[in-house]
Amino acid sequence: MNASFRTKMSAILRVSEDALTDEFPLNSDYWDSLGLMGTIAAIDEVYGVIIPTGELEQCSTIADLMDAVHRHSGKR
Amino acid sequence: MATQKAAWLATSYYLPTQKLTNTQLAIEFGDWGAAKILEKTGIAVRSIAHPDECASDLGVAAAEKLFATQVCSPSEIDFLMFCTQTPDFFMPTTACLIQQRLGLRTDCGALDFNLGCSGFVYGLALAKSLIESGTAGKVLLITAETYSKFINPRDRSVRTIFSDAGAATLFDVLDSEDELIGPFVFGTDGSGGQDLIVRAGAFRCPVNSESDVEKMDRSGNWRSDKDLYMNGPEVFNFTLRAVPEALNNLLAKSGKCIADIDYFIFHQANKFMLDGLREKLGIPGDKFCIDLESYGNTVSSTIPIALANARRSEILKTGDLVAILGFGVGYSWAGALIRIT
Repeated sequence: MNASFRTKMSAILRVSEDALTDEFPLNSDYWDSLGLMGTIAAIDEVYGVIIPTGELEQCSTIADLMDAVHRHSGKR
Repeated sequence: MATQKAAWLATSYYLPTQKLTNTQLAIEFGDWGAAKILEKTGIAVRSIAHPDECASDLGVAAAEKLFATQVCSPSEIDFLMFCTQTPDFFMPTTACLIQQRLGLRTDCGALDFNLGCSGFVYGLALAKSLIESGTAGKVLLITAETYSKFINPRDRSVRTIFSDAGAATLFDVLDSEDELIGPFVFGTDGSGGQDLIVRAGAFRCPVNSESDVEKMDRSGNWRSDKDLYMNGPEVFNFTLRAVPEALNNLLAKSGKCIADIDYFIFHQANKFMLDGLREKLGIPGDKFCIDLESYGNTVSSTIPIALANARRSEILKTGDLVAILGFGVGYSWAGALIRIT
């Protein structure tokens, strides 16, 4: 995970950057509609891709999220 | 050589007297404090129409304020356009009722059009076309919404954002060498229609016993099919895709760059979205309007309200070039340049 994206995700999910392992579960109160919007903006800013909300909602861990990012980055 | 050009002359607006503050919302939605609501939405207070107050009432009040400034009299208006998604009736056309209430001439044209957050820019395009084709002289564009009537009290996703208002804007002919309104860009993508919708109540899905049933979504918000539904993240996704492209197309069409524009007024959706768009586009903060703290998201009236406030406070001066961009329900979006006269 890109360092700047890690910083943004730790702010969105309100956890330390070290806690954001691949297995980190995306099920906290902060993974709500505002959390999703923050993540959409962060992915767009750092990776330059926009991921449909439905795909983000399917992600249950950080690893799933990064898979989605890489899938879309590869499409460009 | 100077020719006759359509120009923006003035805007007045009206806000319902009933208010909804963040403190009130924080009491109802326990897990969000007033400060967090302000931080996330940029909105401190919303105006809520009274039960017997309709969009036409807000529009008429705004137009009466406009006429009270002596900028023109009702009898001078040649054409009235009323933009709303919350009309008084299915029929007649609300603009016809407004013609009578404002005392406009009976040889005045009047029509309604149904658009949300892009509505003001579409109205601007229609006004310019009417004026510069010689079809009409003075054109009155009224935008007014009472979205609060569509909002379930237990749906935080929309209740924290939307607000009711009416705005009345006057356009007229001026002699000018330069364009005073335009160019324009437009955009439409009906594939997003389901992301911001009131499903029940018209003819595709008439009201029945099912439409009153309230259900809770995964974020804990309640609504029925008669209530406004907004898929916030997907709408945000759409704006990140559509708005930068639209602005870049507008700049290319006009041969301008961001530095040539004196002020940017985007639809005041919410602060989170506006901050995201501003950052993505690289627009300096002092040129980018954020004016929703005291008004909320008033749908088609956010741009005229911000335009009127910026002109009154002299953020906008004569000769300034303003880029406006509306985007939302439909999906529908549109952008234009306005030269301040």
